[in-house]
Amino acid sequence: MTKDELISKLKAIVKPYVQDEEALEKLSEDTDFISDLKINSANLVDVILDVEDEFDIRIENDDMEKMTNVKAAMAIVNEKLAEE
Amino acid sequence: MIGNDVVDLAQAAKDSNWRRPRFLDRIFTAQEQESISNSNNKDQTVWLLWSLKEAAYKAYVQETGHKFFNPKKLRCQMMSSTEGIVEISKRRYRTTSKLTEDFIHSIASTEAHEQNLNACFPLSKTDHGFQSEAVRSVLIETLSKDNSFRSTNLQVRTDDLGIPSLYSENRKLSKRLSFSHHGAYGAFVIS
Repeated sequence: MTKDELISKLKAIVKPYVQDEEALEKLSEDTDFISDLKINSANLVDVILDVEDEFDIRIENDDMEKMTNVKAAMAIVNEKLAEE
Repeated sequence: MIGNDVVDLAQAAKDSNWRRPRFLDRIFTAQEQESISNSNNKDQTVWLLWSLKEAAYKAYVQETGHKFFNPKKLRCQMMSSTEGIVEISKRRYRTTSKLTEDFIHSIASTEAHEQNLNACFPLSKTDHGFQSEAVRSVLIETLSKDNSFRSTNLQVRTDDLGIPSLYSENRKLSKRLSFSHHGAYGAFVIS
């Protein structure tokens, strides 16, 4: 999967939970889920679960700790996919 | 150190399905999950414990400067229907919550900051930016009307970690504060 494909999959996953539509349009590696997209923290749990379902991976809580931005989410997804 | 969190129960019911598989296990310890499954009002218990974790997390970030996303690391214990304790890596916060049919407002503090001024109030719009401004304005208005609080030209500024501080005449005051807004409600606490 290319970087762009991964970003567009993540964009589709976070879309239902985003409270700042403009920031979603500009989504990049540097986008923070909470401070930029204003995703509430309960919905961040949904994002984690949706990422697990979409990529058929399991994310431990230790990995989840840093998964608060697009860059970190991409790194963890790639790492988990590589493990399989 | 002090933190607070408000949950609009109608908004939470709309936005979050806590019954989805793996959701509770992500957030709550085995003991917390047990208290949820034993509860007569599961929705209320879920969001009460959640608000405790959020409020304590804010106090913890204020204290340590360390941000992370792992609600399960914050372990809650209710001592009564409104009083609780949250523990995280050897730190301990006392909590008090106000529960109504419409919202839950929880405050977490270290022992030194137990005395506080707080409020929870309805907001007219749900827009995130509006609400963030509105809770700050309500705090400043409240303090301006308080005769025992003599500082003037009050301003709230937020640092890189998102921790708010109160300034008077451009000088930082030694106050701890926390804001929260969700759904139709806003809230603050200051000590």
